[in-house]
Amino acid sequence: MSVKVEGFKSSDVFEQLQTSFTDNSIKQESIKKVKAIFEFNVKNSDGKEQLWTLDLKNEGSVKTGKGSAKPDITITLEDDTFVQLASGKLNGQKAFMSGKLKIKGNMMLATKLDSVFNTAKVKAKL
Amino acid sequence: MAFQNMVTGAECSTNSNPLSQFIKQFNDDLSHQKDKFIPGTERAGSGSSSFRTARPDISIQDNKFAQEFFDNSSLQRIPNNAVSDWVLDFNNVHNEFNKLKLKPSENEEMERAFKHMDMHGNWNSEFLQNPDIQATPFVEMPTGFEEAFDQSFNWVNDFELKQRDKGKGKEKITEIGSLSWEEQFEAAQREADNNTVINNMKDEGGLFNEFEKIWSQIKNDNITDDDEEEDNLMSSIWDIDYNNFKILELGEYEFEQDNHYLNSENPLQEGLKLMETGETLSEVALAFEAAIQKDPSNFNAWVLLGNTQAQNEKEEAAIRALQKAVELDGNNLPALMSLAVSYTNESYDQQAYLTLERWITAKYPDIVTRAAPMHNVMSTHDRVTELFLQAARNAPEGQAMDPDVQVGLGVLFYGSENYDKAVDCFVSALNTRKDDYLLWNRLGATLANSGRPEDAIEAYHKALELKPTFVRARFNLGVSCLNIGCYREAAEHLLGALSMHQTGIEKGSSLKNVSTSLRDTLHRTFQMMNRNDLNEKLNNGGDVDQFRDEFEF
Repeated sequence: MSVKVEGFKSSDVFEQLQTSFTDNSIKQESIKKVKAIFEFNVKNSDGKEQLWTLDLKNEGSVKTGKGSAKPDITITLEDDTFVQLASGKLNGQKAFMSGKLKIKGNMMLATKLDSVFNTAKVKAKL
Repeated sequence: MAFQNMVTGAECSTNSNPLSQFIKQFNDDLSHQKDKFIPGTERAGSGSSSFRTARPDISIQDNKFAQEFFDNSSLQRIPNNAVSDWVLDFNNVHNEFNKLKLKPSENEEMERAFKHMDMHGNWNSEFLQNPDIQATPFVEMPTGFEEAFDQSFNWVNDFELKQRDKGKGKEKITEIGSLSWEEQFEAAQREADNNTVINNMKDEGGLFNEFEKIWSQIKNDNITDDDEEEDNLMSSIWDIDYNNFKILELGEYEFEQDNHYLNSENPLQEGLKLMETGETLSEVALAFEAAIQKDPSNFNAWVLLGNTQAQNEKEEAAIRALQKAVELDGNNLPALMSLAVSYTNESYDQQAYLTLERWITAKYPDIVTRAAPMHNVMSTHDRVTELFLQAARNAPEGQAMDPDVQVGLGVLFYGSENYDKAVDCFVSALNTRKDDYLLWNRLGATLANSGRPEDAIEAYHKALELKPTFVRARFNLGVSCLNIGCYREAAEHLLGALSMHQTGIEKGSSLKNVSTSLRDTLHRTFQMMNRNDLNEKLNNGGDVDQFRDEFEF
């Protein structure tokens, strides 16, 4: 099921994440590393809001809207910030320090954001 | 802690050090030491008493003196620098003393008094031998004053004690501070010039580094605090370790079958010629394979084959070949470097660092290898990095740095995800080797992985300009396109790369060395395009030509 939502640049990232989890080894590795359910509340430039749930605790899945289980952390952020985070242009701690991330729940899990995005990406080789 | 012992030891206990007494007396916080100095019971040295009698109004002077001393000591600036900056602070205090401007007579008096204290100058002189200290500007001070002042270093100690009193949070900082101070001291004794660079590196970044430290601490704390999931975590940590420690046994290199170069008179020569004429790397690799099959002890052929396979985006085959090469000659620099890079790409970090260590000790045998007490990845990384930095520093003045050392450092920084530094290293290596397509690709990959795919693409283009058959650069280009959401371009680059894997070997016969990374990435790209029909085509085998009507490559 596609997780694409029109008008959100972030939805590409979620699609990439979803795609990467079709590879079982990547999925298992991500679950092992993260072990948490992230809920993203993304606001786009038109002021629309959209929820995505990234379950890296049980299922290894990406969904639009709320997940079946309670999230361990809810992150509210802007569409652009999300894209910057995912592409590695902005790291989690800087975003948090500059107030670009609003966090509800277990804050420490935000430190794992970078590794969440990294597993989804194909790495370049030297 | 040798220094502390010397300071608090009986020999130079504060009893006989008048200056310290001033400090103690006017410092409220030192209640735990105060009982030693009940008024009237002080058994200060004769110098001290003469000092007192000679100048009845000295207590006022004292007061000011000590107050000044404390006002200007680093106590107020605990959070950032802690004890490690004490040398600096010490200078500040020095300057303050200058400002007090004692009258000549007072000065004399002081000097005489302090000279009495000179007997316990043991650690003191040892301390002064530290080149760092000597380098600090002690000008303008009367000599006796200076000596006496050195003795009053007790305040460093006091300072630490005081900080500990302030509770748990501060204690951590103090420990970090005094620890690095200790390191500095030891390092200075061992090797003076070495010291400064390391310190500079530590001091770099300031506040943000501090924050980062705390952040990663939280990260770690978080890991250990999580009781219920500890088992899982342990197993995952174990996995990571295992990955780094297992002896990498990929097995012997597997040769392709039906290699027509086996009929060639001199396949090695032919391979080199093919490389020059711009034949695909798969074809070149076949020639080198044939050369090895004819003479398995041909070291050069193994290295060439390994490098070719790496550039051809067949990492596993590359590692097998390069391992064989290193087995034949453990000190060959290009082979070791290539192997280290391949290990890094496959995330065999420990192996990569150890291979780099072999490289640096083979090239710069003068550089001393510090014994490794712990075999964990981080410590290996730090140790090897230090060796490379040492080699970099040892470069003769005014002469360009060894670009290979730069490359090695780049790989090391890349391994620790210190991408900005890695970029700097590769760029400076490129300054001396503008036509090294491998370097351009390495620069590109580092940029890409640090979240700068646009800049990376430029570097890849440069690499491909220099070497159009460079499959790895093409693969990387595809990856960057995929990561910035240009799926069509990504597919075209990846298909182009795959098409270069076609060889003269009869179609249909299965190849031994295939590039899973290329196929997997193409698979993912098609998925992102929502084109499962293309993926089916891909999985059903058949060559890449079937995609030519839809994609240009």
